Amino acid sequence: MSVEIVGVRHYSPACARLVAARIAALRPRHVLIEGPSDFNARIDELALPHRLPIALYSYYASDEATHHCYAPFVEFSPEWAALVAGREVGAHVRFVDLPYHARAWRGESQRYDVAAWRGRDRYARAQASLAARCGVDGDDALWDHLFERGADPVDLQKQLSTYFHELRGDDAGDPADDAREAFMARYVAWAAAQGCDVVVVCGGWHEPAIERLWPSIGEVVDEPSLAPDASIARHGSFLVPYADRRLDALSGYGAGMPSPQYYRWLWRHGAEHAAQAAVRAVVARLRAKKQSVSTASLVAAQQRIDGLARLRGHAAPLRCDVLDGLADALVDGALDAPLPWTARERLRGDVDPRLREALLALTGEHEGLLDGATPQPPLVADVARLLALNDLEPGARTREFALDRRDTNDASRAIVLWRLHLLRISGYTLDGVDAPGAARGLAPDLAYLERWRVRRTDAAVAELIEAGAWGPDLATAARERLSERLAATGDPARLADGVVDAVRAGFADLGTRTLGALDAALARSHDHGALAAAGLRLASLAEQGFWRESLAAPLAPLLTALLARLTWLVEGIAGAQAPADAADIDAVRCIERVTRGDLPVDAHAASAALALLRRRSGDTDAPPALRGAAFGLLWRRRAQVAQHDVGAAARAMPNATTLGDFLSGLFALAREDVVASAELVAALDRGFVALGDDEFLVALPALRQAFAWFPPRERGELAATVARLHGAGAGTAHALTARLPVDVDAIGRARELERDVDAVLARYGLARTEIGA
Amino acid sequence: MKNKESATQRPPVELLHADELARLRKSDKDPRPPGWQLSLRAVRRFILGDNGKTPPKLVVPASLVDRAMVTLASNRALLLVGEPGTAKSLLSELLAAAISGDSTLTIQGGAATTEDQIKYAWNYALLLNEGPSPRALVPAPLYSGMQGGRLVRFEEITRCPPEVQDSLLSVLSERVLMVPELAGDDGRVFAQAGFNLIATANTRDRGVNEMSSALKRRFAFETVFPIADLDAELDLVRRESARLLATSGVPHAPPDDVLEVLVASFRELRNGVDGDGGGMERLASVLSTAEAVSVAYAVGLRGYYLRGDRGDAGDIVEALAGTAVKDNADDLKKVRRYLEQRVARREGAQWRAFYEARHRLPA
Repeated sequence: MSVEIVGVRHYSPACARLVAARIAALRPRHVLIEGPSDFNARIDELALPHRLPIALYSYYASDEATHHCYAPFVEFSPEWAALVAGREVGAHVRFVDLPYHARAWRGESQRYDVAAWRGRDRYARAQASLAARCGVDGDDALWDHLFERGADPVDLQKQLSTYFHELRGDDAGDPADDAREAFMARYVAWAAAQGCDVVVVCGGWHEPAIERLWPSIGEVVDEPSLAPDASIARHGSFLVPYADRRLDALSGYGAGMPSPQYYRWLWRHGAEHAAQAAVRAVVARLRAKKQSVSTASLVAAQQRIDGLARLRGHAAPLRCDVLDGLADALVDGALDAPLPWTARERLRGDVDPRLREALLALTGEHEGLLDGATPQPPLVADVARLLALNDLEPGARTREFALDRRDTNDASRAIVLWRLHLLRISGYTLDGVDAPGAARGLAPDLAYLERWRVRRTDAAVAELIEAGAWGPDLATAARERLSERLAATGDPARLADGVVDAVRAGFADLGTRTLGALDAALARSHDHGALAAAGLRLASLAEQGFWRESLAAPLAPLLTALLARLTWLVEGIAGAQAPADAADIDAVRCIERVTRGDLPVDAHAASAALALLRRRSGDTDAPPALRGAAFGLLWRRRAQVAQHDVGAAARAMPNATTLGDFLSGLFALAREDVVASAELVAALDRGFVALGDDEFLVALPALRQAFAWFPPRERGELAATVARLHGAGAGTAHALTARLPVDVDAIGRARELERDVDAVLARYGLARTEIGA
Repeated sequence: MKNKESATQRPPVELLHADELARLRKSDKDPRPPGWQLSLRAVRRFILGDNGKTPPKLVVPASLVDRAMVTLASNRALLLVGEPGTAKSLLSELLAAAISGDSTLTIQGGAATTEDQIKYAWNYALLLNEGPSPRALVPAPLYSGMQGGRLVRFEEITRCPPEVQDSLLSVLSERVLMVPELAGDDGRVFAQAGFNLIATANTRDRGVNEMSSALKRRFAFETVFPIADLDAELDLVRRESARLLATSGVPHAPPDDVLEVLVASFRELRNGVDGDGGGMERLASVLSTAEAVSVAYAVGLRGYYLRGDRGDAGDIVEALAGTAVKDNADDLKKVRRYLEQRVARREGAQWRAFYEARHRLPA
């Protein structure tokens, strides 16, 4: 009886070769592989003639949310090599890790979380000092340098073991590690108890721990298993097709691998060939994109590749040598970001496009394909169930639905359709929403009648299987897809659209993931006007709710984030002479609306916003309209600003035009207070009276714009106050704001004059086109 | 020699580290490219340090040094580009000292640089007396470097007029310098093994855009970035500011938490991303590690000589306004905004002190 534990790095060709060689040599009775043990009953599905890469998709749903993860397989995964070799020697092949639904895993969104790895302090330090000693940058380059150079398998196994023991040391690991290692060790003890040879293939991080643990466990008679916790509603695993680009660590899969195509060459043909193929692929891809890569520069690059390989002691150039060498041929200027392969992180946006293409050339374009006999993802069944339940099944003929959101039954049907719509499944089309017979004041976002068309299409089947990647059920998949969409937009208007879509699809509670995505999207937004418009729209949605559904609490974190971003942007608005801009005023209106107190936004963000407005109100660099609006808000809230301060600020405006702009902002925020304050009106009136005629004419457009904030009745009241001030006696408000009697000829002459002026402006190219036209 | 060295304000690298270089030469077993005084691996040990046996001379990625050396061993010249204060010149000096044992063959690029400062000039008295002769020729760095098979450094190459830059074209491709005034063999200087050129250029200046593409093709570009790792940068700032303060008679460096505030805020303002990943605007002024060192130095000086303490985060605000942001009003606004909106939320005594001192920014 012997137990051999082979610690591996996932997706390492060297480890895959080692595992295959050990299993062929030992011909063990048991091959135990790190993988979800609840899949063991169906492990033969992996032996079907699939085309790689494929992945094992696992999920579980608890009360709060659905979690899922992928465990991808490529031909050079050590786990895959173990599956193949184990079957060949007739061994019992099993996955021995905890099922995904095990409690200890809760909250880990992906199988191997890089952030968690980084958190392993000792691991990071050991890795960094090893890299420094070997003179390489980044974990990938270090691994290749140490192990992918084609060493003899016996040496390799010793070196790997030393390396992993050094990395792990006496680190106890986190609680998730603990639970998994205890479970795997128990499995090993069970297999060993049967008195036959065992080969264990597991991540190198776990090797030392399992080795230490299993002999102390004693005899285990029954095969270990773990029943799902009672709180888990659904759980399972199924196979999905995978693709090279999803495998590529750089395209976002946390603990994926960089450049799958390169490692495929390395696995199939060795380092020498892989290096040549890589150079060819990069050059071909760049030339296909019409980028010139001259022969001379290629010669120089090849020289550099060979030189670097020799310097670093590689018999044949490895990935980092090839890419470092090629950089010479690809870079002809200063870069904005470091060479992307020297650090392990997502491909940043500022990476040089030629370098990005070079990396993509090594990603590969292999797409996996499942054998026809493989069970389908649960989303397909979930959608079929929901469609039947709600009588929405598509037929050969188009079915039309008019669903009323005020009706509970219709609302739940609409939610299903919205979710399919969000997943972009064809055959479920939204024709429009409206609100027949509703009051004019109803916000468009609250339109309650949705018109849908449903029809069966061929594409829908394939699209549903693909959408299975977003989640095992319709709700999870649609939410996931929506949060990805939101994360990709930096445009506040589209962001607000997305939130409204989410509300309509029944995701009013956006969830931390989506909120995180929205936070990131907000940070990219630089247009305070658009942001304020979105904020006003969302604030009104939060206040009113969506047909019996209260939205104040769910939208509060988003409004807080939006408020913080808006605060940040408003700080930067400059221009002491800038004309009144609706965006500036909207920004203050949005701050006013959100901090009014009836929405549960974060108190710190709210007070920061008010502190900002206090600063800007006294800032002579700020546009007058912004200052006016800030004063208006603070005055209205009685927040350290009294009517006296407002009058003083207005008097301090350098000229009549800026005064008009200032008033635009002030009136937009504190209209009622102005009407109620006879003193302020009197002060303003004195200011206007003091203006010379020319000055007054110059100021007039800005003043008209400012006074347009008052509805006719309030304008009448103001007029009455002014009339009293000038001793003109009281007329009715209506009489005071009535149009002045002007004869038709005067209007005609004015029109003519305006037309002439426009023509002159157009002739000198000073007019905007719509005026000339 | 010893006396002379101690009186020198800033001895060249090969003198400063003469013992270390000699030791490396002695123990060097690896093959050396023709004309090199050290093997590539020994050069790497000299620059990046060697497990405590040799201290590291600067913080750069190892692969950058590898690429630079392999380029210099080939027939291509090396161009180091990057923001000011990223230690490009120091790297080129170290490479030249280690590879050729001489970092003084340096051409300082500028608007007034002319071809004779690069290639050769004449001793006019001899020239008038004897006519053109090898004796009358005054070699400039390029001539000496080619003749002696040594590395030549060209600082701030992009500050030279393009026509002066282009005078390097034939030298870099044919590796021969023509002296048309002299006849026979004296009229041609063939580059000896070991000759190559390291140029540096500043992205903030004129950039490399005005460089002719013919010249660009003859260079391998390496971009030098600010130090990527917070701890490494903190370490460097601590070490260097302590050294500078010691020369000014200040016995201790600013406290660690003050330096942390300094380096963290520099990094945030430099990258335009705050500690929580939120977006901000990056400053137009250069906030290099070198600037961080000089701010830390100023903080230490203020604390010690004005108040008798070790300096606090409040001092950073004034030093920041004076040394880093200089006269850029826009940047001043960005700093103020950063203090008001980002720093306000931070916890920790020094972050608070940093925030409380915001009124010390010039209005």
